[in-house]
Amino acid sequence: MEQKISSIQFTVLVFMNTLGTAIIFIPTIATRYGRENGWITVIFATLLGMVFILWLTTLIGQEDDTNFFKIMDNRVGKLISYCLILLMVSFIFFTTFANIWSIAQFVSLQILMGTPPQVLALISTFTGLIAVRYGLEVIVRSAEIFFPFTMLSLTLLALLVWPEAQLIRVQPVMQLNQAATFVGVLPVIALTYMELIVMLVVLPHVNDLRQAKKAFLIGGGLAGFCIIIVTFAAIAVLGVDGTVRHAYSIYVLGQNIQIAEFFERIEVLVAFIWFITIFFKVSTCFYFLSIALQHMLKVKNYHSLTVPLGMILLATAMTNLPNIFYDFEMMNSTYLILSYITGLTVATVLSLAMLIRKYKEKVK
Amino acid sequence: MRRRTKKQKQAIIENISADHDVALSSDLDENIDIIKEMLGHSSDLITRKFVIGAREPIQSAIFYINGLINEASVQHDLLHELVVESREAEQTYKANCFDTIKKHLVSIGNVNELHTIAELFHVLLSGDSIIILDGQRVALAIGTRGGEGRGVETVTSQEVVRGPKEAFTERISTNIALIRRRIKDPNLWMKSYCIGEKTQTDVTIGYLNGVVNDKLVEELDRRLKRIKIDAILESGYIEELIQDKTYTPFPTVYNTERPDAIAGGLLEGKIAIFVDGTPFVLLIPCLFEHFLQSSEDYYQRTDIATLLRLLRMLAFLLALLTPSLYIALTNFHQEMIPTTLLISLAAQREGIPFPAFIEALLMELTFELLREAGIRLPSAVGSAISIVGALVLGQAAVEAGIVSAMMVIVVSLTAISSFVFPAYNLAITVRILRFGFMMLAASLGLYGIFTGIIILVLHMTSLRSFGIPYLSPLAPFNLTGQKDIFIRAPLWKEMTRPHLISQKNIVRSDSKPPKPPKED
Amino acid sequence: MLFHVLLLITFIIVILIYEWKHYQGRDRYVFVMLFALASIYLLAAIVDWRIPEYVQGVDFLLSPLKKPLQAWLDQFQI
Repeated sequence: MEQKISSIQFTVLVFMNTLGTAIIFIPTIATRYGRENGWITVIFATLLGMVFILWLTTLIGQEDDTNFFKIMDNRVGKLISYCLILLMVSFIFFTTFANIWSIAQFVSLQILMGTPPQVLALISTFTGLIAVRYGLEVIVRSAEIFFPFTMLSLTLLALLVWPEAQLIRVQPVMQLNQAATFVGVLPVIALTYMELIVMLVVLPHVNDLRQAKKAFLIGGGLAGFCIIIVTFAAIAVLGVDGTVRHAYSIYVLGQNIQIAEFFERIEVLVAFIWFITIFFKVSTCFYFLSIALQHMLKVKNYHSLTVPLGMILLATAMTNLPNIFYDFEMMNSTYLILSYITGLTVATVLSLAMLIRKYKEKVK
Repeated sequence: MRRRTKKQKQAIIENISADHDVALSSDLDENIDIIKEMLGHSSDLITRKFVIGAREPIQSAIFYINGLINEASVQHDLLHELVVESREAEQTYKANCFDTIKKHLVSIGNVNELHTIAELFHVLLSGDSIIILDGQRVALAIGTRGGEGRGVETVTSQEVVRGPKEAFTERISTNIALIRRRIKDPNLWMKSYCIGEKTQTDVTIGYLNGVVNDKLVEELDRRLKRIKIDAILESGYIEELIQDKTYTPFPTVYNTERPDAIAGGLLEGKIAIFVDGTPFVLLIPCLFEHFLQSSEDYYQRTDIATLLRLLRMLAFLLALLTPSLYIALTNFHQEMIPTTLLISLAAQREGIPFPAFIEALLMELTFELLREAGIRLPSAVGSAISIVGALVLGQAAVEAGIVSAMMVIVVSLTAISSFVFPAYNLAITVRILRFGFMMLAASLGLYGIFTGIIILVLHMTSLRSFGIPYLSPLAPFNLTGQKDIFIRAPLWKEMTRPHLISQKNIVRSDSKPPKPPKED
Repeated sequence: MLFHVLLLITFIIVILIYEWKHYQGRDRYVFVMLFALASIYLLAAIVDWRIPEYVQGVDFLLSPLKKPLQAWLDQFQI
């Protein structure tokens, strides 16, 4: 069945996917590098990320096909396409189960103390599974429904912690650690914009491609802006040490909220943002994996792959990532490398293929 | 002319019962016999033989079902004319008799010729009178439908403070007339179906031609024609047979007994389905927002209507989530409750033997029982149950230390909120879902509730009503649609019909905002 | 542990019954193969068998790049 989505829906899905894990981990990671300039690291990362998005948008355009993998087959030939798909699948697979496991770990550590993370991982995988089986249209429509609430929660978070902020904590601006501020851009992009190659599978479904390219930029930019604000708030409220010390610094940020001395500790606001964004990230990645496998195994109906895929994701999530420190180490090494290799290889190969084709046409 | 034997007659009857159509015989007595036989000599079938005309009298007979016809019109307009007037008239009737009868004798508007026995039974059992003449293979059906029925009364299920009070009745012709009276436009088209092998129920769809999406009409036509069932007793049968998805708690077909709501729907490009025998008329396509809107929203001032709408959305959330939030907060997230409130809650819960989930389940269940009992009870005893309910739910349970006072407040808040919805079927949906959310909250706290909400939204966005996404215009988002969801924009601003439902003739009003005369 | 394995077996049976009739031909074949694989993998995760882990594999493949990168990044971190 042909699934068509609008450019607004695409914007929202890009927004959700960029915020995904990033919203909770980026403040800590960026601050670890840039210290009081952590938020400037994120600004640079956003700018570079926009460039990457621009690059991604040029990859698709001429073909009518809505299946990204078929487009790729036509563009670079079956063999190279197969290798690229394998590379992308290995990366997105990593992203998906890491996301599932990080939300499970977060909930079992911070919200439901004592609940085994395995159960929570099961539930996240299950929701993702339901979403994927409903199809892409349903995922993007739900994203539309949740978008206002996510924005509202983010705005509330930013506004309500404002009284606690001390600008002295973000000073001096760009005086110290300049090199580290720029180096920090690398891991930040790996966790946010590099993961957006998953959107390539959604992009051909948008009914107006020109609008879609704009939507891609707007979604990514808006998400980047939100991360900048949150990182700034985290440093200004918790200080550099506070932000670095906590694995979930914006959750701690949420704990500082106080309204009228009655509503205290509404950090669930933060948890809500994270649940929602990570859910959409997991669903989109899950969808990507199902479609990729469908293409590789030449199956008619991708639904047949979803249940086994969900089980594999769950099992991998439960066994492969023992603890949060290991997660952080991964994010700074293996995952980072994999992320760049995948993102850059796919984009480069597809661009090259396009250039060669254009050149050939000119020669003719 | 050869009379058929009894055996042959039996064969004809069997043939007809097996759905094979048989033409009328030219013999009067034989026709009478067959009709009587087929109806099993039922006592409410009235048969009367008489003679038309004086010069060349024709043997003829009239049939009708007692109670289904309009007694006065059969007596005065039919029998009197046929038996008495025909005698005094000069012309003969033998040749070309049906035309003459139609033209000169029967003074009733609706007259049809029938050729087969199956046709004959259909109209006879619908309340028409049948005239057959000796030597003719054709019967005349005279529209004398009538009989006892309820008059137009006031609305009982969707009451409003301001707005028309009349409701649909059980009779389909009255219902259609109530709509015609509101929309005097030649483009209001009606199309009739006859559904149900045994009940032969009249089902009529109505729509505004030129406004409605033609594909929608075709789709509905296809779905209605697909129905093969023995009986249609209420519009609920039709609803269940044409809806997009069966296994969902959410209704995807709207029903109402308010003519103004149906008229409003027709003007937005929707299709109404009238079913004979029920005051509940269906409206498709139907989106989630319709269940949170009342027709009164358009009769009240815009700011009041907006406030009421927001209140209803709040009520929806409260009715759905209050008990589960209470369970989640008291069981898993005590740190989120302000300290003073927490102390008072803990003090109340001291000595309560049940965990919060069981407590909530118990109270919700009791309330649901009371509510169900309240509907079934005769109104004279109704007040008794409310006293019992108030005492059992309220005071006694708390004093006996079985439930905490807070729980009673939670349950009553849920109860009040669930009565706010203008549509009863959404209230039932919320009742079902509430228990699911309570279980999620009891096992996984707020995380469970969030997961539940995500799955709920996924499910709702996956629903479609006749191809239209259930949550539109929120998802897929449509800016012009927003003026009639959370807010009710002033009428002069509501210039267009809903985007997805009607693509043709979308401009509704051109009026300028009212302006007071300029003062000198 | 036993309880979890029993749950898994119930799940497998329910899913097989539910999904079987939805797919035909190649789809069904692929589904059964993948499903069997996934079931064994999940079972291994539940009963703690040591099987090659995905992350370790990726880690191993990328280790030539990982060491210098980590050393370089470490100088910039707190």
